[in-house]
Amino acid sequence: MSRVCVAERCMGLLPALLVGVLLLALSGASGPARGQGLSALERQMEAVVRDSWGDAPGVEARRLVQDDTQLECSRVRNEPGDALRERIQKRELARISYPEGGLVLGDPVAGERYAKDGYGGRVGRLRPDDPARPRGGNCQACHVLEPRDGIGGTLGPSLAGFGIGLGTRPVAVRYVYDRIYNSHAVNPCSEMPRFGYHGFLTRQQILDIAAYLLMPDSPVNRIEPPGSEPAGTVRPLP
Amino acid sequence: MIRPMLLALPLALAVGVTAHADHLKENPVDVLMRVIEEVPDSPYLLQSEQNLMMMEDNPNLWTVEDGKDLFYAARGPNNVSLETCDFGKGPGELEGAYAEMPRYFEDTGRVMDLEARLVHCMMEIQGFAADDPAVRQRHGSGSDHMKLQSYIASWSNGIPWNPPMDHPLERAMRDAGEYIFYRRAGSLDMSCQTCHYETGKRIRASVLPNSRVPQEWTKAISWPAFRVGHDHSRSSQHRIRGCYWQMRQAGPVAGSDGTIALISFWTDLARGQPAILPDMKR
Repeated sequence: MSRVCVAERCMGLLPALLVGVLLLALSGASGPARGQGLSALERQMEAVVRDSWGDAPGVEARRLVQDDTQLECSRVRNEPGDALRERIQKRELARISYPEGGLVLGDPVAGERYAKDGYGGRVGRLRPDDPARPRGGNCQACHVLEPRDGIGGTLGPSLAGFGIGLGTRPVAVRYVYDRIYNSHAVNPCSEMPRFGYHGFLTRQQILDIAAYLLMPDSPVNRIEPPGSEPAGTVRPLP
Repeated sequence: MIRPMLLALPLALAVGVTAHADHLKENPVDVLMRVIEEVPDSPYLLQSEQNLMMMEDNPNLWTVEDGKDLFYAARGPNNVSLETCDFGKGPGELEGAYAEMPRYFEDTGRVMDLEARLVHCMMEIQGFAADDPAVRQRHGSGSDHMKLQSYIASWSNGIPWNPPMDHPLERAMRDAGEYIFYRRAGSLDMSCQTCHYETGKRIRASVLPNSRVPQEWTKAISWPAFRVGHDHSRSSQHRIRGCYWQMRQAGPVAGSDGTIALISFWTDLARGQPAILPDMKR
């Protein structure tokens, strides 16, 4: 029976729609994206999503709910106009949190590991994530990371040689930190995850990855032919 | 380097498809080759020479055979076969039925995909309980579900996808699927669009299908298919679970309206392109 109810909501039968909207209005708590001005159709769709993902445990069920930026970017299919770009950028910039000690490049060796490791964060594992093992940023899934990287993804731009010319100047460190922490602060409706904002990576992990990307003798910034031998340990900056 | 092989392939295949699945009027590889001829530069369709060569020996063909035996066997508490099950074209009419799913079924008042319809028939006709392994176990080449789905779907091999949009619920489910397809959520801010909106994009070494190129998309949605990397045949529902798993979002309930809506939308995107069944994927 419950399935039929879902179907009715989905179908947009006029009476069902009116009842649904009325109920939502009366309850004053539409659940997801409350107060974001969801249209009647969007409310119906969100009801289908809630019912269809109903097995999610509490914390994951909350994760299913869209935040403001996810909602707005979904609506425009990631192509915001100027006004929306500006609004999102301003909002997401304000959501970046910086380490108390300032932006100091971290450990590039650890950074390389986080950039290539896709561990953690999946929902519904038989075994929960090992708290002793940090999550990976899985940057390599979408980016070619190094000149010798033959298996990096291409959803994002290649990062081979990324730090050449940028160096380790504070402005470069800040840019990379912001980009990884909250990509929408740099490029609104970017496809790139907001790793810091969601707490998927720690601030220190982001600084480690920044070191891997920016340090001059990192494999990212060594011009080497694809598939050549590993570049060896990255030396820390003097 | 892949071109000469592709040109030689139809010749090699003319000799012998599938001594087993004799209801297949066309070799699934030939269907795929027809599609490739339309988009000869598709990085997705040409990503694995080996897979194309192995399709002749697609292990799913055995799963199809197992499914044929199961389909006509008297089973369940009612000890009857599935021959009276209506997949949309009339009781027992399998030819082209899957290419026109999901569709609205009057007897249940729901839009159903192949898996949901099969569950319905196994319970209503054969009398299986919902928690019987035959009904509950949906994944793996050894499951009744993969066998039956593979057999039923193979009757749509080479037939253009044509999901009906006559009933308002069918259109509503397609639209709901479109909404969910573009819906970003979770701790990686991802939606289906993230990976399936441009041609030739890769996750690591895997080339992704573009939902806006119907020739790429028909291969992408041609499930059941044998997943080489899994060493198992997989279903549409399994593909959806896998995508949400990798997007670090919660998995949807099997057979829920949300999953059927997604399948309605993605089948509509491949409309007019021939189904490749069974397919073989990386």
